[in-house]
Amino acid sequence: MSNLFRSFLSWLKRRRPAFLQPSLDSRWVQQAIEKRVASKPGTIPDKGFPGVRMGARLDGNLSVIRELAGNAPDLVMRDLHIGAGPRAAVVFFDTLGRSEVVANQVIEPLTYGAMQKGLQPPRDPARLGQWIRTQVVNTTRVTLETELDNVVRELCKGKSALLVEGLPHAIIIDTAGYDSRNVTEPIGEPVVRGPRDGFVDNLKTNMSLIRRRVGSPMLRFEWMELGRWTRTPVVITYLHGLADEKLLEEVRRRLAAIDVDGIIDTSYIEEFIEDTPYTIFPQVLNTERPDMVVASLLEGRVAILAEGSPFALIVPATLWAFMEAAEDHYQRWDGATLVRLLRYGLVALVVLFPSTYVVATTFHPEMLPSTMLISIAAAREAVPFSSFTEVLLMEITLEALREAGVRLPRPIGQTIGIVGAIVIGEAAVSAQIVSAPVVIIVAFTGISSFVIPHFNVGIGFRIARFFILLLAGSLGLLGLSLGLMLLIVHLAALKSFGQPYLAPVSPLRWHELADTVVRLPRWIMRRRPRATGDHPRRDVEYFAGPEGAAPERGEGSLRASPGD
Amino acid sequence: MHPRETRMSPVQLFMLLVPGIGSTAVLGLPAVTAAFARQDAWLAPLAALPASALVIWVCGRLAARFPDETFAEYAPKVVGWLPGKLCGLLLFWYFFHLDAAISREFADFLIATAHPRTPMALAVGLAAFATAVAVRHGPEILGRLGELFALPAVLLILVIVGLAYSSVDMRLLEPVLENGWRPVFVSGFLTQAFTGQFVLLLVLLPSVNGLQHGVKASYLALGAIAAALVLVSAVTIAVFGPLTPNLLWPFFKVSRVGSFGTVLARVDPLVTGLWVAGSCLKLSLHRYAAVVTLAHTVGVRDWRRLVLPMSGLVAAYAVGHLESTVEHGYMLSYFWAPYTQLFQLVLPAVVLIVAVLRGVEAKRDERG
Amino acid sequence: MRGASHRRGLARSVLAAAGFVLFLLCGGCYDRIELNELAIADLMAVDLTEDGLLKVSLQFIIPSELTNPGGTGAGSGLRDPFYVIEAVGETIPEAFSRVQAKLPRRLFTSHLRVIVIGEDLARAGIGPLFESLTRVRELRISADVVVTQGEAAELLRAAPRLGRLPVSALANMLHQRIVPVRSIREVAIALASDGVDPFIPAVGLTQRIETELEAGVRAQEYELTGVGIFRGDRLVGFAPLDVARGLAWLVDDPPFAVATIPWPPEPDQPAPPLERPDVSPEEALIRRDAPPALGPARLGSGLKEPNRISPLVLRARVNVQAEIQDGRIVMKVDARAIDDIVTNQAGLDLTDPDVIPELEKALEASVEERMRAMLRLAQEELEADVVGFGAIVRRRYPELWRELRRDWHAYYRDLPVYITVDVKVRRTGLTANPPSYRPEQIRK
Repeated sequence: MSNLFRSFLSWLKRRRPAFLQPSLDSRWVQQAIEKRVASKPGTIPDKGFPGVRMGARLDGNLSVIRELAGNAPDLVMRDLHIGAGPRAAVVFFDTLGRSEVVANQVIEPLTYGAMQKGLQPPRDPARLGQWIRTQVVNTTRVTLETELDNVVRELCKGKSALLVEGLPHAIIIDTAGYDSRNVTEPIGEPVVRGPRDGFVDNLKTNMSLIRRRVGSPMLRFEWMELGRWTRTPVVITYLHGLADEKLLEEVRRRLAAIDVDGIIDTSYIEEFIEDTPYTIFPQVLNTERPDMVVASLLEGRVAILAEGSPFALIVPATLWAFMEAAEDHYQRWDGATLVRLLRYGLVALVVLFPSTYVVATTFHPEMLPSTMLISIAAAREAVPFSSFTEVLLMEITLEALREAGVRLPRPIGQTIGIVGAIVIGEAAVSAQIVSAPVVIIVAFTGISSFVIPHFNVGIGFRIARFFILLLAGSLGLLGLSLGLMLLIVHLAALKSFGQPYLAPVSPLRWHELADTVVRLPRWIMRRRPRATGDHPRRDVEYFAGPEGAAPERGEGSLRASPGD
Repeated sequence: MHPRETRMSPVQLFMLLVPGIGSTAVLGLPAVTAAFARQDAWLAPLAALPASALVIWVCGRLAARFPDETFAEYAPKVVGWLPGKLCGLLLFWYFFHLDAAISREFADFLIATAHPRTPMALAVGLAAFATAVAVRHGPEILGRLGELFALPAVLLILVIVGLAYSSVDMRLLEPVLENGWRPVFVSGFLTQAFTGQFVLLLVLLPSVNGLQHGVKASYLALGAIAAALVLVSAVTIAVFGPLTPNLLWPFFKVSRVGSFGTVLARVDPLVTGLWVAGSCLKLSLHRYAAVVTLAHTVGVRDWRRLVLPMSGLVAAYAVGHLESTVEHGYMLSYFWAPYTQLFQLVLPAVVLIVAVLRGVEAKRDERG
Repeated sequence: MRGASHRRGLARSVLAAAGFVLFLLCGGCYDRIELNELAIADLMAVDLTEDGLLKVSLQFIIPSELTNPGGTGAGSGLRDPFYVIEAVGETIPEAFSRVQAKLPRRLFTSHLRVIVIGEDLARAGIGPLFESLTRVRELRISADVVVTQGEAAELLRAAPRLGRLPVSALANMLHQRIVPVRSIREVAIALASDGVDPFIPAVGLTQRIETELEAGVRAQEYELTGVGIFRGDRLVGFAPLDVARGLAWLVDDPPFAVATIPWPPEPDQPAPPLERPDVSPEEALIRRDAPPALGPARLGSGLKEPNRISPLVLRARVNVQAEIQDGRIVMKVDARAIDDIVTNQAGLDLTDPDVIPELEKALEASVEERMRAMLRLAQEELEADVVGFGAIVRRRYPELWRELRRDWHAYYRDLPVYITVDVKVRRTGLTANPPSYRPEQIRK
């Protein structure tokens, strides 16, 4: 019995006969909404007003919208008459929409333009809407919305709603436009040679920067909104046919599961979609370079953009991706390879140098050559601290200086550097508070940590450095090697969207090593890298085969071989 | 999770086995073999080759009959319930004992060479903890660790050999076969205790993609280990000549001969450090084998739960079961080789023979 | 849905971190020692005291005297950057622990680079000493070993000028390879091997020329005096430097040294004494300024040995083999060398290709004579098989060796050694004929 009742209810819900669809025509509905805005505003972003339709009564619609926006000073409600016909109103936020666009493209054609051309608005409400959309309004994107929730949402994105007396829906006209930063060179990831445009805080511009670089129609943007209160537009972008379907499914699933009040930046998203939250290593790559996003898309990865954030997220990401600078791909391969090897070597130093120094001086002085041992011993002669404390103190000082330098406005930031150099480099050593070798080591470690192209993985390595330093300081060589061992085990076990973090080094994939540890010339890399384990590999042919039409070298005839 | 649910590639198996079996052998073996074969000790790994290959072959045949099961799972089907469970327990005991012995040797080495005042329980316990972390991630991660460690391990050996090159005197290897083949075979038998550790395959093969390739990779790994042992023994003897049998960790001493001049006066702490990593791999491999074997014998579904307690047990046994390095060395020379043969060769071979005679095989539909 | 498990994970990781920190605080630190709590020893001398105990003298570095981190330049310069402490004990570690009782810092012996063995101890036997040297963890097995004539501790008194530390002066001098260097390892191998007796370079002290500033300061430098020859683990004698060079050839470690020969090769007729008429000193003063007489008279005839040619060995290889001839073991030494002529004060015409083979023959004879001298000393006088002929026989004829090893030293005494030397003179320095000689002074 109850089953029957339940199925009847669900039928009702599905079909929603007209008597169950509340509309703003009803004064009772209107009052209920206004009361809820006044007394329980906290529930509105969560639940909204499901199923409430716009009414045919213009005043009722306007009143509800005004109430919802709390008599906002930037909410414009412009009354007008269409031609000489029905009363109407254009509603928009003039902080989001462009007033001149609304005036020229919407109001002018509706009133003066229609009169001039002698167009008569049809009497029939259904045809009236059609007539406005197709024959009067000049902007490109015009849609119909019937539900109050959707109308309000569109308004909050900067669109205008045209409400007409007698029409039970709103005509949504895209007049959005607001000031945003110009496309400039990305500050965080500068290159000497390579594209100079960087993402801005405007999603549309960012999408445009990507679309410009991909000629194929297979570039996909998937739209969704995240954040209960902010309703931030988020876009998943990938190349249909290159990105693995399973990976995409996983990205969609994880994004859909996000339930949060607001998304201020893509970093909010990053924290929600990581595979392992308890780790010092980032598993999602972020970049403000559109060229880097496109390069990743070509490798079958998926990027995530959000309104208001100039950083795109790229998944899956491996450790090696974090160690790559965009520049590597724009410089000649030999130089890029050397720079990469240097970078790996320096990262090893970042993690191990201070602890190795502590181990060598306090546990295994026999490791050092006699002359070096004597100089270090002489330098340490009057220093009050143990070398572990010394290194730890200096490391902390270095981190403090770095943080101060980043946070301060640029002109003052430079003085911090000078003060730090004098305080640490000169005064501390000549006062024999710390020994000179420690300063050298800490400074060198600091410099090395700046070669890591991605800031967030650098933080991870710096934390690892302190972890190993603690172990080495208390357990010596055993601690050092156990710490290193644990670090490697941790890295090997990490995954980013199912992709092993250390791939393609472990698990080993020979073809992809060509652009991981080294960077070989591009014509050697004949196979597409796999962003995920199961993706089919395809040979990329740079030179036409014997049967094909032979394009000149350099024309870049990239095509998938028919073999797969 | 069952081992067959996580996969490693044959290449990973190869790179896991080389440091996973070779790491302790490289360090201590030359002394043991040189005690019997003197300057011919470098031939001992070659003498051990056939028997070790036999171990791999037996494991391969068994795995071919039961492709998706570990030894402890199919042994009851082959020899009957109770004897089968007993076989599983015996194999578990072997892995457990070996793991404890490796822990012990690890700690002994560390204490003797780098940390004379550190208590052994601390060293053993820390190693047990670190390896337990690795083991809990399962065979797939072990395979990846193997990939990461294999190359540095080989490089390390080559660097030590290169640094000691100026001290190498090849004449110390002569006369070849001064006392005939007999001592060489005796040392070969001792070497077999190390190279016979391929019995690990009983547990590892179900996790490998492609059985035939896995077996082939194991043969290659055996070849690589034998080559490394020959090189290491030869270099050790060429550097230390008649001193070799009296040194506890002769190849480590070889690393003390060379130096990087102005950068590092002595590379031996470096060797100790890297060797710690290598033996951690070996420790985790055997810990994994022990845990999985026990879980499948007793019928525990999730072997991961056993890892931490087992690590504690291994550490306790490692600290407690021997008094000193003297006892350990004596055990390695006289007791260990015949004792391990029992588990490495005899046990699987018996099960294989029974399986062939009774014609037991995994059912077709189970193979999938 | 992930919340609950994550919160548990968080709690677990916080616990783990707390445990980790706790563990770090209470565990560890067992083998920790700061560099400024170490007394770094770099040179050790071991002697035998009169009552048969070991006397160990250790030289310690004073780092702050070597470098001055606060200011610039080296330390005060007023005091030596090293000092020596002695102690007596039955064994080396025992003596070390007595040294430790005299030290404000922990004794640290890993940086011992040279170990000096006194003559008395060497004559008494070095076997037990090398037992300690190979067993102690801290010692470098590649440290060099030298013996002294007389007390070893004397050597620690020297303060050589070149190099800040005596030990670096000593080690660097040894590594000039005038005689073969021996490390702990090599001596230990020789001690443990069948058919080899060890040898160890011998070092003594010499006086340097004092400058005025140094007057009154003890001014002693190290000097390589030869090689100490052992039989078993006992020192039986010293080979002087000239003879020791022959040993360097025999063990295939030839020095980059000169080996001067007379020319012509036959023992020269003593040069006729220069005419020295009795002249008054004033007259002599005038005469000395006079130009030298023209004519074929040779230059430098005032020297004791004017007719000398000095070659420099550029490359050399020596191969020693055992062979059986007429049922008797003989040793065959085959040496090859490539020489450069660095001095031709005999005025030989080096542009003449026919001269070179003769010169080479003379050089070969001189090399052979060097080796012979060493062999005479080792075989006949000291009966010590420092070249390792026994080991060579053992490698070649293991069965025969088993019969011989019992009384090898008796056999060794009369072991015939055939030496073939092949010297090639490949170049003649930077000049062809002596540039300062006139054509008629060149010897054809």
